Amino acid sequence: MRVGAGLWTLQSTQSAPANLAATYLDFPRGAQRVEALGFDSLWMAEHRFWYDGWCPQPLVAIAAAARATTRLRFGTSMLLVSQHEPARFARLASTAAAQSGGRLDLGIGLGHRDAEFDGLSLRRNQRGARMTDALDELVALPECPPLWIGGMAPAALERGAARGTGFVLPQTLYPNEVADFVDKIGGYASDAGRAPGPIGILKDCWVTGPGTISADDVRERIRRHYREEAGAWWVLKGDSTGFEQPELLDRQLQRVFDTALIGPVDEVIESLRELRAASVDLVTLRFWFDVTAGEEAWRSMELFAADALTEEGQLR
Amino acid sequence: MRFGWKLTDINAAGTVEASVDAERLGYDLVWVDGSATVSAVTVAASLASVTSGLRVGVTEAVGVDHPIYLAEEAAVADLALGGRLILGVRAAPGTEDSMPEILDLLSECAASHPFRHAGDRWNVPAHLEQNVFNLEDLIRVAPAPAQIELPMWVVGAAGRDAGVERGFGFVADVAESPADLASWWATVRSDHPKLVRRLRRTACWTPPVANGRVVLDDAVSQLRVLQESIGLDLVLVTADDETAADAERAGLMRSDLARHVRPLVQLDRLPPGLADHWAEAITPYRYRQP
Repeated sequence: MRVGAGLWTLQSTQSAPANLAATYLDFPRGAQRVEALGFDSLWMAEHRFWYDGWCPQPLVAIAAAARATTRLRFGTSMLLVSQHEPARFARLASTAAAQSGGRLDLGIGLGHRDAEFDGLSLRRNQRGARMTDALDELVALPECPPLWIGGMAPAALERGAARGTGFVLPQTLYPNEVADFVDKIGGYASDAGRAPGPIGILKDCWVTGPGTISADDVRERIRRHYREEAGAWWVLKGDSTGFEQPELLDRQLQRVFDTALIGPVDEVIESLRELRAASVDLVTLRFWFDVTAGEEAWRSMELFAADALTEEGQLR
Repeated sequence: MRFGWKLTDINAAGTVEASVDAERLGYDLVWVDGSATVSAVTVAASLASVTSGLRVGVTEAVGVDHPIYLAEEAAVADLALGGRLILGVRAAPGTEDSMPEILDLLSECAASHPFRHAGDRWNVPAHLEQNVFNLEDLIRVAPAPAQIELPMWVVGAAGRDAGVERGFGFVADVAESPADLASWWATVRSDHPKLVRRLRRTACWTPPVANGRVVLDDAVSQLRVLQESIGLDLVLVTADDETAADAERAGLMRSDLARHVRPLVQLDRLPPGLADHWAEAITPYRYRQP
């Protein structure tokens, strides 16, 4: 099972202010560090029109970091392909793949914020059809990078299975749910008459130990991170946002904490082996949040890498 | 006068080699033209960690896709490059009439404030009836570029006047005649006597070559003509096809221009004897001051 590190989003948030120019200049050096630790890949995500500058064009940033590394792969989990113009996006992806020497894994999702679609004169309710158009452009490229679809809706599974893409499952699945989805994806692939694509999953992760922050501390920081994002963006019930329904918001977020891999390295490795046993091919471990970015996160990643990774960036 | 080198071999290795060489030789920038298959902005970002002071200019076609995509891509590339990006925009065929609106939108996007735009082609935000949750009345394109004033220039003749009115510099194509440019520039100077000082003027230029070497006298006199006609700030060296196809010849051209032409066109004139002194080192490659 390949093990990647994530998620670099290049933000400057209320909880963790950062000079964005320095953050971007530091990003290729961070990629070198991820490579030196032995991870298989580094992953970014995308959003736009947000106060913290969340990187809206991760492939452009990836092109910069790829040149500073030699082996490390770069991925997106997720890139909101439905918010892009399919032909323009295919051109961008193809250039980023070429500039990275073919080290790109393209994870694509739909996006959910109405405001992001509306700013670009797009209709959110057409996002599924737009993803299909983008997929068709991408698979027609002379050298299409490996594609991974994010999302668990039947339409997403069908779309990917018909084109032989991989899938990236969300971080909030419990182990038994992972196995169910792997089966389900196999079913869609068989209906499409194709071999099932590889399975990836995102997991929030923190290895505790000397030089890092405690499990409780990291839980609190991650809680703040998700509470801000979900509180401001999610539409929970009717048309109110998360912060307008705090109890419901906290209930929804509980699942995030229950499914995160936080603890000593042996426990984290054990959980990852369960995922491997459930036929997961790639796991992206999210150590890097706005609220954890910095030396403590590097220390946690070092503790993990020393015990968990083979030289090829696979789980031992 | 600044010197820029237009990259022609946009595969990964050739781009890096030429850029590193250009920086070593003292060029101010390299330039990448986008195409139907190449995102110039992405190529520009990829040069961030192999160069340190070199600026990177791009030409991207505008008029087909929503300008916000390009604004975002350019901001991210500028940040990745530590503030070394120059954004050149060229009207895609058939979209020339949209240039004023596109330039307005790009200007709003490069600032760091929320804005609203109502134009012939785009409304931002659009407030489409299918989008209902938590909409914005004004949007903020984020992140902002690293540079407080991202250089944005109009490439080619289409939209050049609209650009001038909005404070955009310009890039003249190789095929444009210096006489026509001079006459256009004279009008601009008379219409906008104060603003012109802030407008950066660039021309693509193909150096005269004989036996694989730059013809010094002709090169200098051609650049002098452009300096006199439009007050050229930046020459964007665009090698002829034969030179561009041969990495070694292209390298020689870059070096000839950097070592022998560039010093001769920096000042209005040189003190007597200096050009001869420089020429001693390169006999028989000699420049005769007119």
